[in-house]
Formats: sequence, C-alpha cells, structure tokens
Amino acid sequence: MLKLNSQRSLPMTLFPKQSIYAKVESDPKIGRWRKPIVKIFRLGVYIVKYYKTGIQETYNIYKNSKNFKMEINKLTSIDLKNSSSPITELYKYVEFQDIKVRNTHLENNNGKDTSNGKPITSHIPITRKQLVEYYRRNQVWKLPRFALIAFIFEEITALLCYIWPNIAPHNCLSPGGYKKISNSLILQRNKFQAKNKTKKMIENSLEYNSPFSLSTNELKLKLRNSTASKVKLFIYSKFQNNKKFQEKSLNEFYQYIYLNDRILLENILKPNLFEEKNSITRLTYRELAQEILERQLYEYDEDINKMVNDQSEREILLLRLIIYLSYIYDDCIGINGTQFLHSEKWGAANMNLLENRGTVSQQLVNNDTFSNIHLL
Amino acid sequence: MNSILRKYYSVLTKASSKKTLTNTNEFVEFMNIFPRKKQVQRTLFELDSNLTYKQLLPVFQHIYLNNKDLSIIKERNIQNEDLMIMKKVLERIRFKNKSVNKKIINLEDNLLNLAAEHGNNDAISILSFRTIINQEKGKNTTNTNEVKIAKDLIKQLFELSHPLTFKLTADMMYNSNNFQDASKYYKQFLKLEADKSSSIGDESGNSILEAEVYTKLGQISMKLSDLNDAERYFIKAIQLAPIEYTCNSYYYLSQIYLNSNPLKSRSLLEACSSQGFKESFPQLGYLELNYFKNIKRAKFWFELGMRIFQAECYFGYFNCCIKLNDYENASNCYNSLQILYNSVSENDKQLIDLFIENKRNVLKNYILQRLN
Repeated sequence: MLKLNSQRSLPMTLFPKQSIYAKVESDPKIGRWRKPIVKIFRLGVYIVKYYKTGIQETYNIYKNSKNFKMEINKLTSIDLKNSSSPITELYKYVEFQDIKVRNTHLENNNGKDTSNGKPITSHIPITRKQLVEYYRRNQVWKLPRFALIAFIFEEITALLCYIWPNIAPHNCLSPGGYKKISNSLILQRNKFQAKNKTKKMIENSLEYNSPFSLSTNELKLKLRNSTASKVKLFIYSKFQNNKKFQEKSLNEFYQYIYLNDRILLENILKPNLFEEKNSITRLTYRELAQEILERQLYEYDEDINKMVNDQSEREILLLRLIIYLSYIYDDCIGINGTQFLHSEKWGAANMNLLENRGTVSQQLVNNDTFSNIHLL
Repeated sequence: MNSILRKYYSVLTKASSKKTLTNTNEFVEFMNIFPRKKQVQRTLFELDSNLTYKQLLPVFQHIYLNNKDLSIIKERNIQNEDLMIMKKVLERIRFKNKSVNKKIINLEDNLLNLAAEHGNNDAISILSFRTIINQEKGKNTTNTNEVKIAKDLIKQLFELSHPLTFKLTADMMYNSNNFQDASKYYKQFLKLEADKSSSIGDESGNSILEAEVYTKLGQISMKLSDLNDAERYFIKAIQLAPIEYTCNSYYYLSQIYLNSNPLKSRSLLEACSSQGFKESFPQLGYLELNYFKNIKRAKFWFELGMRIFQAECYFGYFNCCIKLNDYENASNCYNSLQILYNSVSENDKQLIDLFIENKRNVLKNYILQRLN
C-alpha cells in the first residue's frame, strides 16, 4: 500500500467538521457557553494544521522526487541531462520492454501466440507512488503565492481557498474546493463538446488525434487536468505565439496517464508485486478520487469525495474505473499477451483516449444502470 | 580551364627535375578528376596528418598513371601509413561529394595495393578480406591459393590483435546474419581502439570507424529487439562522427523515437533528409501528414521524394493533393506513377498496382463531379 498510494500529495476527501463538533459537544470539561467558540477555534486550528502539513508535504515531495530522474537514467543507461522528461523516457522504456517481451515470446513459440490470455507483460521497475509524486511535484510552485496570500489575508485564506481553490497546493484543498474544481473541469469539457460537436468524434474510438494536431482551444481543454504550469502555458500561448510547450505538456500528460494505468493494472494482475503481506490491491480513497478526476469518470455536480466515502457510491466509482481500464487496455500486449502494443491499437498518443470513458455511448455507470443488480 | 592547367603543368615540370607525367593530356585529365586543393588540404587536416598537398600531388599523379617506377615514394619519404592516408583522403572526399569516379576508385585501389606491399596491416587486412568475400561471391578473379594466403594473413593479424581485422571479421559475420558473433567482434574492436588511443594519448581515435561500428551494434540490438541498447549505440555513433557518416544512426534513432518523442524523431529525419537519405522523405511526409496534420509540409517532403523516384512518395503526394482538393496535381501524380511502373522493383510494382486500383475511383468521382 505504501508503494502504490501517495496520500501526502492529495487532499482530504472528508472534512472532519462533524467529528470536531461532536468531540467538543461530548467534552464535559468545556462549559456549555464556551462550546460554540471552541468549535470554531478547533476547526480553525485543524485547518491551519492541515495547511501546514500540506505545505510541508508539497515541499517534501518536490525534494524526494528529485531522484526520479536519476533512477530513470539508471534504467535506460542514458544520461538525459536536459534532453527530455523522465516520464517520456519511462514511457519509451516500457514500450521497448513490451516489444522485447513480445518478440521473445513469439520467437520462442515460432511466431505463435501461446499465452492463452495469460499476461506476459513486461515489468515497470518504478512504483506508482514514485511516478505520481514526480508528476505532482509541480505543485511546489504554488507555495510562494500561497504563503504570500496566507501572510496577507491570515484567517481569511481558508475562505479565499474555497472561492478560488486553484490558489492552494493540491494537497491543501478542502472537499468543497475539490468539488468546485471537478465541476469546472467537466463543465468546460461539456461546453466545448457542445460547441464543437466533438462528442461524435470522441465516440468513434477509431478516430486518431495526436497532441500536435489539436487547436489551441482543444489543447487548453485537454491540459486542464494536467499539472503543467498554467502560468507557463499562458505565457507561451500569448507571448510566444506557439503551441509547442502545450503540445509537449499534453504529450507528457498522456504518457503519465498511460504509465499510471499500466502500473495500477500490473498491480491488479500481479497483486503480490507491491503488497508483500496482503495480496489485495488497496487504492486509498484519495487516490481513487484522483484517478476518477484525472480520467473524467464523473458527471457534472457529482461530488467525488462524497461518493468515495459512501460504500455503494464507491463501488460505482470502482466499476467505472475498471470499465475504463478494461476498454482502453483490452487486447494490448501488456495485458493479455496478444500481438498488439497499446500504441499499435490506438495510435501513438491518441488524444481521444483522454476523453474516452470506456463505454460505447460514453455514458457512465450509475445507480440507475444497476438498479436490478446488487454490487458486491 | 585546360589552358590554366597546361600552364600549371609546365611550371610543375620545370620545378621538378624528373618529369612525373609523360603526356600533357593525361595531366589535364588527372587534374580534372582529382579533388580540389582546398578539399584535399581540409581532409588532410581532419585526418590530423602532417602531409601537405604539394608533397602528395606528384605521388598521386605517379600512382594514377600506374607507373612502375616507384622511386618517387622513396624520394619523398612516403611511409605505408601515408599511403593509407592518401587513400583515406580520396575515400572521404568521395563520400562527402557523394560522387563516384571509376578512375579515382582505381587510384584508391592502387594506393591500397601499394600500402599492402609496403607492409601496412590495415591494407593487408582489407585486401585479405576482399579476396575471401570475392571467393564467397563466386568471382573467378580469385584462386584457391590466394584465398589460403588471405586466410593465413588474417590469422596472423588476429594474433597481433589488429583492430581493423576484428572489425572486418565482424562485418562478415553481420552479413551472414551471425549477429551474436558479430557483436562480440565489434566490441573487441572498440576495446582495442580504446586501448590504442589511450596508449597514444589521442582521445579522438579512429572516430569514423568507431561510429560505423556503433551503428552496426545498434542495428544488431534492434534485430535482437533490445531497443534500449540500440538507442544507446546510435547516440554514441552520432556523437562520434559527422552526419554524413552516421546517417543510418540518425534514421534508426528516429524510428525508435517515433512513438514516444515525435518531435525528436522529426528533427532526426530532417537531418537525414539534408544528406539525401532517400528513406527519410516518405517517413517525414507521413509523419507530417498523419501525426502533425500539416498537409502542405507533408506535400513538400513527398515532392522531394518524388524527385528521386520513391514510389511511396507518389502515394503520399497523391493523398496530400486529394486532401488539399488539388485534383489536377493528383491526376498528374497518378499518371506519373503509371509511367514509373516499369522502372521499379517487384515489391513496388505490387504496391503501385494496389494503389492504382484503390485510387482509380477517387479520380473517377472527381471527373464525374467536374462533368456535372
């Protein structure tokens, strides 16, 4: 579990207001007349502590993930220097390993696939925690601005973070702020689709779209979920008048999603890989919420955090994730040993996959879909 | 031009006590095909040689005429290594100019033979391997005795740990698809070269040969599906030698990066195309057409490819024209492809047949539209 999830880089899913209030309420040492003030005070203290931990962890993630590039260098035996991103290098490494595994497998069996559906995937020698923390390390650039806001506005910071959740580092978000972000993301998507009538195009999964063939608006839309610096993106698009930075960032985001999915699937298919004691793949609530957010497996006004904390709703989210994974990675070499690579099946960096929800109609599974089936 | 050369010849013959050329016409012919002074000087500098153009020109002339009186070599104190350098000069210039002249190649061969006669191991090795390869190819020019001698010489060179012999052995293995052994000998060559250059204190070593070996190692790794190693070898080759010697490495590296880093791949292919590497044109065209969706640029690359009669480029160009609604050029391309049909390989013929069959309807529809 330690190597699969990165709790410290993600925000809480449940605001403990009720539990704090209940604690104060049940504390006999606090006088009745003091209780409303103590409740607010303790809540304030909790929020300050939450921000403090969030800031510390954001910095720690940045510091600890510095080694990631070195590890990739060791893996590929090529000194990257500043040439390309470690995520791209890891993506390339995985692709090379897949080709090697496939060719060796076919060579040993005289060109016949004898895997019988058993996974013959190559192993990714990086943990999911390392990968996601490297990708989320960019949040550190929010710290100076956030610290300045906290210094100027003091206790009003929490309110500001609620109104404009993007000013806070990701792990300092409140569930309310998280919902605001998730709603705005899906709203932008829906608006764009309605405007450009791209839904039909996305439904046709065979349609190929590379990150370098998108318009500026499409790039913006698809990049809204990535951790690429929004300031940089703005400067490049406005003043440099070129899309190269955005295109590269989007390509990297796609590669990150692919690697993240691959490691998760590897974990599900070979559960004892990370979990030595227990063979169950344990994705934390925070990670599940993030997976759902990044892959847009939710509808407008759905509160992911709330859903994650409710058992039946959580099962729905898990089901959406599984449907998505099985659709995207079905019939690819890494998973069941057929002759296809992921890029051969969908095309190199097919951006339509970022919008794909894994169902033919692009409709998500919800309670109504399974009203007659009891989920275990 | 010829009058200038004649004047130059008269000056040269006056200056030299012995006449190096018997006939003025032969001299004029030699100077016409021999590389320019500046180019020779630059190549000598690149090869880090102490020899000068002035010193070498009479020797070149002498050998060019197949003169059996070789006293000039002794007179000018030309060593066997110098003869090999003279050969390398011609070889490199030929490579850079991408032009082949039979007489210059004969001159190179004569230089090689002379170097071997004077005991140069590199020359002996090259000639020995040439004899064996000729015998394997079934050429009548070699007899069994020559082959036996060649084999003995190679054996002796092996015992001497002569680097080029290891490289040429590896080349033979590579051509006979024995990749494991080829890789082993290539690595030995690199080790010997590294030892040699460290003992001399010259870090640059024989970088072009090393680059060639790294390219071969990369190709072997690709064939053995070890793309990580292949990438490493190709990068090393590119670092060691200029692009004209490492075009293959650029091309293979671009193929390796096609999925993960298309921008890099495109840059590498563009570098290849700058050297006229014909396989790079259709690749660049399709990359621009399908990945970057830049049809005009794709059309440009296909057009360049068509100039060197690449069948694939005709297909791409046709598709670009159709996408740009340029039916007139598409129709011209279609007709050109039919003309090209007789002069292409069997594989290309099959592809053209398939293409013509598929695209006939596209043009038919267009003509019908125009008629309506």
